[in-house]
Amino acid sequence: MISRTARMLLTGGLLLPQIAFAHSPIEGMDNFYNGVLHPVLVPAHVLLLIIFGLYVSQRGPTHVSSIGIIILAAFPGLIVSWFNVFDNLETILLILSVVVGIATAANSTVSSYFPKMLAVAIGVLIGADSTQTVLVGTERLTFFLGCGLGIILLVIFSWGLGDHARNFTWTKVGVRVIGSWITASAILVLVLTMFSRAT
Amino acid sequence: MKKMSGYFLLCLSIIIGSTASAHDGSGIAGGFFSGFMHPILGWDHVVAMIAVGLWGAFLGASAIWILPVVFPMVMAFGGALGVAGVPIPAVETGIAVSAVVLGGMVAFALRPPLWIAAIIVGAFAIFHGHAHGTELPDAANPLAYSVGFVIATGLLHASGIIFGLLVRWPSGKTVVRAGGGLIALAGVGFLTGIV
Repeated sequence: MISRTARMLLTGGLLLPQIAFAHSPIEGMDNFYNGVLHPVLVPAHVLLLIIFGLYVSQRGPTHVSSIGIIILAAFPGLIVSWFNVFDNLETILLILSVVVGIATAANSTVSSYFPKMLAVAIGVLIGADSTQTVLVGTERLTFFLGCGLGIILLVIFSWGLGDHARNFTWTKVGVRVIGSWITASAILVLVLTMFSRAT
Repeated sequence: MKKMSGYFLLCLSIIIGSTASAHDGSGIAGGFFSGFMHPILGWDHVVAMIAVGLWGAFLGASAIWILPVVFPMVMAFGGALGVAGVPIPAVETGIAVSAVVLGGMVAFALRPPLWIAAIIVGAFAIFHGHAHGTELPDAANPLAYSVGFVIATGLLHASGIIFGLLVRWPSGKTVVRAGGGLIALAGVGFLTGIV
């Protein structure tokens, strides 16, 4: 016969891996590295950071300060997310992906301040959307530091790649095509989100 | 004894539940993979996407990038209609006709103005997008699914463009036109139900 306690432990043991998996990108990894991977593993973050880096690189060296602005803006966002859990930020991030994606596909500059304003909005919003409720104290701080590093690496990587792409005609076309892909993906998920809420 | 077998059934159902969810395309990787495979596993999508790239390369410099940029954006509009449940009549027929028309354009070496080519490609993109969009709500991770199918679509365009670059050589032009003819024939096969 199995005792009641043993039954509870067995049932809990069977359910626990699913619960843990739902809250952590990769099991068995320390909090700092989990933070580094967070912007890479959240599709709405990775799309927006990549397309923003490509968009800024497309605008040329005069707009490189926007990369610095997004990095600086991400940290206040992370601090805000320490104290608050925000719902529906993903929708705003997807709308921004559509805006930046269209601007990249069209290769257009609306105004010289446009990339800088986008950088502030994107940095703060991605930081604020990186809440990790299961972690507390030093663990959460370590996660946030890793997350900040992940954002820096991702945006610098995509900007560097886009800057290199400016050397060849076909790679410049490739950047515009990526802009249209990201726009298409973001539009579809936005519509899906709208209709799943309505039903 | 009856209580015990009931308990073991409960444990078994938890384990089976975990195993099933590991294979249904759930999560980011699963969503991406199922989205990526959706255009590739449908022959009607594959030939039409390759035809877009092929025609773009055939039309020349601007079309080679304008068509692959226009297609995903309009496809997203068609996908949005599919997600919203807005019915489009004869979606499958539209997809098959896209292969006939786009393949025929290449086979007969037709060169309409770029804006007309963009309208033709965009019109067919709505049918392809609608077909993808109706599948989207069932995907475990919709964003990963849509990124997957948009990338797969783009890669199919790219393969058409690469094949289409053969038009630089006189014999290559014949090969590309023959490829367009095959795509148009495949489209006729989809329409008639032979393929």
